[in-house]
Amino acid sequence: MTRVSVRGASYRVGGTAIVEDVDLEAGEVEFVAVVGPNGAGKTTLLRLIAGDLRPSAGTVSLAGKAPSDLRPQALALLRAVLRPDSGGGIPFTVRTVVALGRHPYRRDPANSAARDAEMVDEALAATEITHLADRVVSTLSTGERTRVTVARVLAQDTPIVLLDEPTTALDIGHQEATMALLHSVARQGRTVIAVLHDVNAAAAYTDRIVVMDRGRVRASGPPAEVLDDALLSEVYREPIRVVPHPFRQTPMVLAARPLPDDDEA
Amino acid sequence: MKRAGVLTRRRAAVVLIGALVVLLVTIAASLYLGAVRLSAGEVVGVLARKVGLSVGPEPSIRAEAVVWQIRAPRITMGIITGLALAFSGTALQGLFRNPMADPHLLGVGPGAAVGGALGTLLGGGAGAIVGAVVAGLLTAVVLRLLVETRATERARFILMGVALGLALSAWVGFAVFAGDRTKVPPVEFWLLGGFSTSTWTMVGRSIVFVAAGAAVIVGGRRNLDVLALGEAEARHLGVDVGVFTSVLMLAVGVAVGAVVGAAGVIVFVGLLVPHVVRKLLGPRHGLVLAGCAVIGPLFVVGADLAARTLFSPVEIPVGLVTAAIAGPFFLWLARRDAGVVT
Repeated sequence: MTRVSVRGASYRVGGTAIVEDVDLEAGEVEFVAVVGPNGAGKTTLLRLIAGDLRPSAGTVSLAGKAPSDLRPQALALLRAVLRPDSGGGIPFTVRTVVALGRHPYRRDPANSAARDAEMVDEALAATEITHLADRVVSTLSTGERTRVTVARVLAQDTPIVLLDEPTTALDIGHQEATMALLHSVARQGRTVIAVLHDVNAAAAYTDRIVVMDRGRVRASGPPAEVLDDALLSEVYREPIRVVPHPFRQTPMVLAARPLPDDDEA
Repeated sequence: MKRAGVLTRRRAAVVLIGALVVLLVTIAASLYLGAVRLSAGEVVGVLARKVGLSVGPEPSIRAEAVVWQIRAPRITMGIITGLALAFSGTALQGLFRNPMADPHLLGVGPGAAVGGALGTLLGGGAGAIVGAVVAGLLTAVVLRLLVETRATERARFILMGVALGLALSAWVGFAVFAGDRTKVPPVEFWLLGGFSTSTWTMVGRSIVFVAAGAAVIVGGRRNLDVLALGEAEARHLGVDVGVFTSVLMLAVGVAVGAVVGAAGVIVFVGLLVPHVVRKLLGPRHGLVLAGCAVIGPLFVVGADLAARTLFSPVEIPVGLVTAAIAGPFFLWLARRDAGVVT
């Protein structure tokens, strides 16, 4: 079943189209990556889905409803959002910030303090930051802060999870761990849509890759079908080769620009 | 983790109880000290009879008048003022994630003072409070519209608020000088504050509005926590940021108006007290407000005690005392810990 549906959506500022005529469907158990060069409109697309922006044309629907028709409270029970490095100046402890992910449930009679605590503990454990629980967020590194935000988003426990560059600030270990976590989050019956810069991470862990360029969707489908030399080289304006991963059953994307030394040799 | 939580709670309780004890001592000193010398027994005698106990010597009419008709209402008005200003400062600093946000600095206080002066001309003491509340609300609405249009940038927003405040301070002067100067309190009362005219009637009128405004701010404590994550994050967590901002600013307008109408503009309380409390109790708004409810009144009642005893029998405006104490203290706080003010 489709949970997130974007149809013919455009977003224009002045005369410039940031997102133009985009279609995107994501199912109830699906991990979708949005990739593309800087300025391709990925973040704007995510903000349209999140309900931060209203499309200038076309429609966005989350579980059958337009985000603009929902009250902020109802929307917060439907989708959680991670923005890139939010939280540099936050004075709270890690545990407090993750617990704020439970804010949308504060008037829910079915919710309880015990349930909140349980979800917070689970989110801290899943993102491997339990040992940081009592640290003040503003004293953490960018990568640690990102994991705190991932934990907050998990604690919000929504059917739709939207993430803008959740792995960009992370080292390779935490990047893999986060991708594997998001994969399992999707498998638990959630729709996960992430803007990613690392095409290899997208290829390894996501069900579908949406390639954007200049506001439009250039290709959409399973990684093995979508990723090819010609498309990626054109979109990134850079020679790129796609080869089979030596031991994972996934495509692997390699930069193919001749190195400066090669010229001299 | 659980242990740290318990420790935090224990520490908060100790700080709050400690501050409460200091507040009670300050209140006792304020009842005892003043231009008219009374014995401790006389003070106790007056207060005991108010609660139906015959303790201490039978008080003289003079002691009764000084303690119960002069000192007690001005202390009570000081408590209300400290709470209202500290709550308002907390609300504005939280809403705009700006450590310089303060009801007086942003013009709500001066705006309320214009209304207070005009209200006095039209309707005496009751008019002062009502006029100040209405004008405080109007100033809050103007400020809200400024934020909505183009002043969300932190620095510019504060600058616009300061300009608004200075312009409104001038209007306080116009309102006073244009009116009947035998009826309206002088400009220095409105802009520097004072409790020498406080009465129980005034306390009764003011407290209703302050209670309403304070209740709204307390109700918003969780949303203020969420807002600390950022405006976009608050929206993603279900806070209707626009509506919440409007509601809280109106609450600030009402609470600040009600105390300015009674005691004029007392600077630095709304700015400094929330910073001191956050330093002691951490950044969660529930605890910050609890601390403000004790330390706000402590600061104002203490400053008023100093204002009327330092140069006794001459009484100086309480705003001079708050500024003289809080200014350097704020500078020290800002220099010592950049985190407090950035």
